[in-house]
Amino acid sequence: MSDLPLLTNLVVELRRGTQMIAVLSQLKENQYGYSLLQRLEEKEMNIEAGTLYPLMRRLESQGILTSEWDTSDTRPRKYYILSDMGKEILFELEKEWYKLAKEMDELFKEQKK
Amino acid sequence: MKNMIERYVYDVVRRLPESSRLEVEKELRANIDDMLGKDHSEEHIEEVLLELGEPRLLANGYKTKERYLISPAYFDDYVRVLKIVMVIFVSVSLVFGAIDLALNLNSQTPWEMIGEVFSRLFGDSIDSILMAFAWVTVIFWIIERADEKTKFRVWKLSNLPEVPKKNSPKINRTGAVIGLILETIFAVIFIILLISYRDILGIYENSNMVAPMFTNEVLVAFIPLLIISIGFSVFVSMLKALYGVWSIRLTAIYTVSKIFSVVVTIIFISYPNLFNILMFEKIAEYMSTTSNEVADGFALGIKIFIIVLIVGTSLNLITTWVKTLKGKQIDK
Repeated sequence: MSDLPLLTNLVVELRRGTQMIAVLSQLKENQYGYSLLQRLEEKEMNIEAGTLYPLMRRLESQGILTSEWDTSDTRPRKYYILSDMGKEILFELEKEWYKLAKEMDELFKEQKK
Repeated sequence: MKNMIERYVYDVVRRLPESSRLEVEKELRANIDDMLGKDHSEEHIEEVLLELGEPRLLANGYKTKERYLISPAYFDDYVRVLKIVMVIFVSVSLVFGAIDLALNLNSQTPWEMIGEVFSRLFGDSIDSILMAFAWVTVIFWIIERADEKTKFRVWKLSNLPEVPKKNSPKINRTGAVIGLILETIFAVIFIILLISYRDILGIYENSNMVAPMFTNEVLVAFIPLLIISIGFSVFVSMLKALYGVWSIRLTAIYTVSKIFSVVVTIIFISYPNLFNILMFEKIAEYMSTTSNEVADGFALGIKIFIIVLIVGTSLNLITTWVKTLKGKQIDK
């Protein structure tokens, strides 16, 4: 079943909305693109590099993240961190996430009865 | 193989707005560098770039707003308007092409003529389809940009379209459009004949006119009335193609135009001295009879024509009204 293209598409779509929350949850401290990618991989939250890098930049332009270049090292890196607004947004999104999970749970339970 | 990274980064940033290119380029290089780690072998570079994926898609990820000419929200309206505009543009171009051909045909032989007419009208149709495409697209593009900026288009309940009356008798749209085109072509040809060629109609002997068909003064006096009548009936055909349904109002207008054109036709063809007396004399000469008898024969023919015209039009109007009113009743 799992290699059905239709199912794959639906799963990708379902995860897309949650990817952003996952990314934000790991940005309470400074991260640069690759370190965040690895960190998410460690936690088995797989996101593609080609999705993550642009996403970080978009979140920055929306004011949810702030960034800073660190050029002290030999290789310059752009570090991202949640802005104050970003922290608030993450807090609200977490609440929303738990609410959604609970609602879905109820729905599934009802079906099983 | 440094070149590969250069080419990749270039292919991404060239798709981005000028203002963000430098920043994205710097960051993308740093990210690629991080992903490469210490291993700068050709294989590893390839692996990393493949992991980042197609530059087009990556660049698309960087864009903060969706970019398209016609957004999905407008697409259905766009297609609907495009269809109507294409029909109108093609009709108009066919009509103008036909007029121009009728006036300035260059061909000598019938085959040349057929070729010329076809290539001309076909080419014109393609041109007008492309033009309709361009115009509708530009106009929708403007509406959408303006809407984005000003939000001038506020949706209200009163904007909802009326539900079409299910039982109103439908007018066949394609038929109506074809009818409109043909009617316009014939109308144009008829008017051109009346204005520019009215004195070439007649009886010829050795390519010299010996008797004109019409009395010129009578014909000239009728030209404005005939043009009004033809214009009116073309206009009503346009309304038919546009509405697509026999409503009471449309049927009423249709009735008025039919009666008007029948009345004008009857007055015109039965007008005293419309046909030139010289023509009657000439025909009498050929048939070895008197011009009075020829004139009587003509008068009889005209009477029959008038009767057929009145009966035909009446039947047409009665069936149209029956259709219209029936639809109305079922609706209630």
